[in-house]
Amino acid sequence: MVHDEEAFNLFYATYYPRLYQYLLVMTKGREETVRDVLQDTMLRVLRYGKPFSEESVFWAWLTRLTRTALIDHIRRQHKMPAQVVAALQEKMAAASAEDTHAHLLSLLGEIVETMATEEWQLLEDCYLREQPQVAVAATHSLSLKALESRLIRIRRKIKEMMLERLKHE
Amino acid sequence: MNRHDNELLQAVLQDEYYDAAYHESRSNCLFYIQKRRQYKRLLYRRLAWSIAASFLLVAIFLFHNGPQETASLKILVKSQALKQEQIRTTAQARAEAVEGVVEVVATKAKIEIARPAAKPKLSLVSHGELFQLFSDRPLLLLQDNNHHAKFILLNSAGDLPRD
Repeated sequence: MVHDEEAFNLFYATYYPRLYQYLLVMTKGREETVRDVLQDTMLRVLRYGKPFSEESVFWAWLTRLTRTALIDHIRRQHKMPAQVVAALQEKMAAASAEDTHAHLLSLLGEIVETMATEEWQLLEDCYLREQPQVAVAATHSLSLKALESRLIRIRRKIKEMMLERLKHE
Repeated sequence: MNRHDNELLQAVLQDEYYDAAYHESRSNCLFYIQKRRQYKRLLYRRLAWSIAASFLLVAIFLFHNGPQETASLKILVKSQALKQEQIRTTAQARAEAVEGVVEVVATKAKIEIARPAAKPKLSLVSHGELFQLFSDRPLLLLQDNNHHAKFILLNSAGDLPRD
């Protein structure tokens, strides 16, 4: 029972973010849809889950399950004809999870390049150089709270820009 | 792909909305697991109870009705055997009876064949003196059952002839 809980927690912590990113690209940045579909996917995993010998096979199964959940969601929402759904499914299957992740990273890179130097410096110190926040705050003459709130603002700004770009792709 | 880039990407995406969605989804899944476990436990418990109850019922049935059933079965077998015996006896008796009847009929037929047909009964109608005019011997007028008249000529001694 305890092991089950641990396994569940590990599974959630590992795969929820990955599937979130995958669905974010698939839904073109529609967070509401991502939330609903991801919930549905996780329940399907619990319902139909089985042991896998390799992680790659499991990941492939997981992404297929996610795509099916998304298709079902879209079908429920829009009541699409079968041909349209099939075409959508084909298009989704063509885009692998690795591609979507790489796409998000490239989007991030593009957005970061357009940012102000000071904001980029903060991000670089905190996330790329992995400096402690206290040190970063001291370097930039900021209080810890001010640094935290600035980081939140920057992250929010990047996310909004990413979602906006995804929507218009 | 740089690990730091991944971390940055995750940090960017992981805002309040993401956290809320994550925790909600996780708690929903935990709730689902819990409910499924409860349901399975309940199902197994019900299954165990029903199996136990079935065994108990069978045991009670065998304990109470088993000997009676066996005895009644024996009686049934015996009665069946008796019935068969009766049927056999009846059939035999019937066959014998039929044979007897045939014999009886045959005997009767023989008797009837052996017995000659009864002569018509004659009754005396009138005295023969009346007809002495036509013969020296008295005549008897007799009438049979069909009221047919018959004259019998008596012998000299006044008796009926032998034939």
